[in-house]
Amino acid sequence: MLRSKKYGSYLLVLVFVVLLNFWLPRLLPGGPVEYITGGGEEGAVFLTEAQKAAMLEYYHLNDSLGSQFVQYLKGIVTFEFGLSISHKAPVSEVIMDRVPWTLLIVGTASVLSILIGLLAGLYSAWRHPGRTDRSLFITMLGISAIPEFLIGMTLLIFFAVKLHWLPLSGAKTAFLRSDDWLDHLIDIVRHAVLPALTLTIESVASMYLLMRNEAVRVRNEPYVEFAAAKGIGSFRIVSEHITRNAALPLVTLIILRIGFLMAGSVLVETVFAYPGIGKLLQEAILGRDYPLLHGLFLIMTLFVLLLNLIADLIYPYLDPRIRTAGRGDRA
Amino acid sequence: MSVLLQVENVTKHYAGSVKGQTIRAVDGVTFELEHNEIFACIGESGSGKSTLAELIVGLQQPTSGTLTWLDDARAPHMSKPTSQPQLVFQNPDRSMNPYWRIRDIVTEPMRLGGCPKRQAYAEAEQLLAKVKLSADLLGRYPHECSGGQKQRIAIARALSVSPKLLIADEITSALDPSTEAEILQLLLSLKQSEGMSILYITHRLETISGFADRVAVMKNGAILEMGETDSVLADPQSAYTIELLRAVQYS
Amino acid sequence: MMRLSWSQRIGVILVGLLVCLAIVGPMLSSQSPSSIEADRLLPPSASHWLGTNVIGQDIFSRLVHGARTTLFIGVMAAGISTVLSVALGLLAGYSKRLDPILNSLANMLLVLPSLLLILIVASFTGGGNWQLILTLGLLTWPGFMKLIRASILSLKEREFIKAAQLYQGKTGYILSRHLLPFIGPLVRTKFILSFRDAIAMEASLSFIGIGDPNTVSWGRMLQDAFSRTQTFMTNAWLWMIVPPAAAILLITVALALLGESKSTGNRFTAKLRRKASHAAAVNVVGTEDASAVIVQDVQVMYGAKTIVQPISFTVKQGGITSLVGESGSGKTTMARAIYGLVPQQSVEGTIKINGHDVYMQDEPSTMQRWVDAAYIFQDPRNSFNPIMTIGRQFYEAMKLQTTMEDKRAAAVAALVEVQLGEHVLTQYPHQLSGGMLSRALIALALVNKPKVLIADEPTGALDPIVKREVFDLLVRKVKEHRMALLLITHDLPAALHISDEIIVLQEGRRLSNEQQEQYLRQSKQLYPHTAE
Repeated sequence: MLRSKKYGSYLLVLVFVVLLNFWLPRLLPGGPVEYITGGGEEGAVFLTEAQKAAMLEYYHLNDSLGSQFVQYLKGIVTFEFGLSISHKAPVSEVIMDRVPWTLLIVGTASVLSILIGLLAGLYSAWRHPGRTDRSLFITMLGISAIPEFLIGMTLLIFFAVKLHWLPLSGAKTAFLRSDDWLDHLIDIVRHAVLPALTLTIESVASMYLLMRNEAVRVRNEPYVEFAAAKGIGSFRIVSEHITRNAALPLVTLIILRIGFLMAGSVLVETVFAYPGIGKLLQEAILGRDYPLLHGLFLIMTLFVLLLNLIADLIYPYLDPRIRTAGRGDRA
Repeated sequence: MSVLLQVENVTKHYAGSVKGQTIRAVDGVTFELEHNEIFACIGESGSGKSTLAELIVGLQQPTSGTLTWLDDARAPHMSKPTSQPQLVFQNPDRSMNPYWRIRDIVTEPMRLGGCPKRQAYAEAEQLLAKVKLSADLLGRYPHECSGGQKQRIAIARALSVSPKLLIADEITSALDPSTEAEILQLLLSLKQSEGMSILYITHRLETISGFADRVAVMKNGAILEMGETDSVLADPQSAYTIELLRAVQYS
Repeated sequence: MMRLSWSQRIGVILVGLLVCLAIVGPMLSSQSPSSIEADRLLPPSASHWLGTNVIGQDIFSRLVHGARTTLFIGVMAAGISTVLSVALGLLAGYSKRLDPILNSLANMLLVLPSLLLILIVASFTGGGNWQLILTLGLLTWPGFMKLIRASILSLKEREFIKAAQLYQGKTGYILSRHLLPFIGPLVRTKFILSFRDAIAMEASLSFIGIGDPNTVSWGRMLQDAFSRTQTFMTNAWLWMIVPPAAAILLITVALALLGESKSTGNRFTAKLRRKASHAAAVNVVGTEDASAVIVQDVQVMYGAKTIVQPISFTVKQGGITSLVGESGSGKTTMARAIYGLVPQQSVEGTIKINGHDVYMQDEPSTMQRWVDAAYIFQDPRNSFNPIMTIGRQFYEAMKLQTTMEDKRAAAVAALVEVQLGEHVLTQYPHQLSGGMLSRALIALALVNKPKVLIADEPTGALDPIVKREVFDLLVRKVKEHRMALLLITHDLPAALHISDEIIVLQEGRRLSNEQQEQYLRQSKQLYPHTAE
């Protein structure tokens, strides 16, 4: 019963996003619709007549509101988001072209930050209370507060501008003259290092904070002291009792953080001019490429919802209290 | 003696966590509370005694059955209009707002009843005197008082509206034995001086001898046995009461 | 007044400095932030303290005017977001009718990363400062609203709320007078964190290029600098990028330090630095003395406070000693100290179990926990790890057996002794009743056949009848296995019934013989029905 309620709330989010996507451009002052219909004085400067025509057609502004909505829904269901204005190509194609790059850096950053963040958090909780724990905690707290793009910028200035160790921007060298696939691979890795590192640093801090706080809480639970009273070694107490019990309530949160990482890629990809969907979103916003914008927003939302769904599906398998609920009453 | 409250066939059912299951917290309870008596209600956790208390004061509504107040025989010195029965809770740390001073805690029912703040504050001292506490406590916060003091303050708060029935729900279970004895002594003297009835709820059968006039033993929402305290303790009828008595005796 | 940690003090100072900069700075700089009077890319000098940018605007002037914009947006957005969090959190927590609507709205907004949502909305609103403030304020309330709601939901169950309802207190009265004070700390944290997030978000959006190009803010300055290649051709980035970047860095970090919520209270526990116990090859028993537990001049301190005054006693082999006292008498601390569960530096004096020193200078104690002695906690429900089967919690403590089959057989045998079935091994704690868990705990204490058992209110959480059963079982097993038992209890009749010796603690001090006799005499009068 509880689970179906949860799925219902996802559906609700989807409906919410779909409606938001539809109404935002039509209702908000300064949105595209006002530009076209009202011929807004300042903004319209950026629109050519051709762009205006394209937009009129895209939003079906000459039709009634009802049929506009039907057209819009039809587009979503068939994954037809129309033609990107700036790329002159179907939106879905443009997006799919860019997705792999984002997956590369977001995926790498997710794996690394979960591993490092959780281990550091556990280590901190193990040394809690103490100076090691405290200084690690304050450092991570500080890092987590810094906007991603600042971290990226700092790394860029040092490693690319000053030291010339790594490339400045892009995902690969444009005309790399080599037939060896290894050279290409190295080239791609060298380009991905800084963006992935930036995302990792930011995310490690938040993973660490989650894990550390939860592990400190668990460490103070009576059953941990009881485990110690049972003569179990400290390493096993940390690995068997604290890790499992602290990680369990975090599973959902950790998976959701991957969604945050993807949102963060907008900033990081902008810093490194990395051609993923984050950079694409930035371009779409600045270029007022509304079909692309709607498409990206929808795809990103679907991705986040999918992550939520995964988290909800695996959680019951990890928590015996849920798995065995109901069975216990009869025992 | 005259009857203060008639409880007739009262039940309270909840929907259980498993679908289709009903929990019978209180299951067909009938008894009468008399004026100026201490009535003890004994039961283990889950026996429905606390639900019964909340039903009587009106925090919950019964699923079926009736509660009838017969208040024509009002004691002459009760000048205020018929007042609500009052409930004193088990855990004083949860029954007082930790951000409030004792002065405000004790006078809350009066102030909510429309009494001006100044007048309520003036009466606060007398209220504390009734529970044998010094007025020095009025400016303190709950965490600056001992467990026994806090329960006395809770009793004083209940007394502020001159109730005819005071329900004490496990009020001594968090206290040490010697403090518990003091609180019971206080309730006994309040029964005399205030002319009120007390419904004393506890899971400890051993505490009621020489204190409660009558006792009811509850299990699974129903009353198993009821009678004069001394006769129930000396000659228990239900197997459960016998077992309960045996559990606290060491020979 | 609350005390600030050193990190919070740093936060206060930094935030204060930046606020001063925003207030005083614009008065110090003669240039207007957007006037183009000087040459391009001038390095810092007396006339241009921080140099000029690509189009020749004075950077210091832009920095201090930007501080105003940034702080203004931060405060306003944080204010709106905080007010919404508090108001909606209170309403949702208290009103059963509004809760489903408000809570699902919050859940919906929470599923989506706020950056994404803000980006989209901001890209359509275009970016005046007020549009940005409203967007940030209206989209960032759900996180803390959920926290406040949860806290209200649990506070609502407190009896003082029930009491106020009983006294006919109105909803508004209960919310504002009773509940609001509790969420004060949450509100403070929320405001500071929102402030920080709003500043970071404003900078990020400006950096991406969203927002009014004519306002001066730190994020905008970075975007200006970063989007031009000239910045990196020379050293110009030093004065074009470093000042605004440092300003953003300082304010966000300072606010993070300031907003740090107090860590959960440290309990009075020994550090986690022990090797696993092992069964000694030869079970050396203190031969020179027949005492299983020796406590000599032991004093326990917590910080500067003495919890247990110097005390000495022994528990004989196979004997039962009860430590009796009211709450706060220090009896539990005493028991924990005997088993080595409090930090070493808090304990003075000598404690020996089975001839092993429990506290040794600079080296781990040779007393093997659960082998030489076992310790049963007050509440069995809290002693077992809730997500581990009972079986695993048995096996990990068993030192006498090496193979899995042996362990299992021994665990089953131990369970049978306390009248529990084999199936308990595969169950989780939540599937067992309190009485069953207590029995399982006793079985667990027996698995390594220790010579000493310390039991801290082993039946405290049980109802009277089960309590008596479990208590009798415990005493029977202790006698069967010829163990020494140190029982910590406030139940004097029970202690009198079974003990060879009774020690009464009062406020951390052991009563003298005469005091103790008087205490026992008084207590017997309290409940004439408990002893025949």
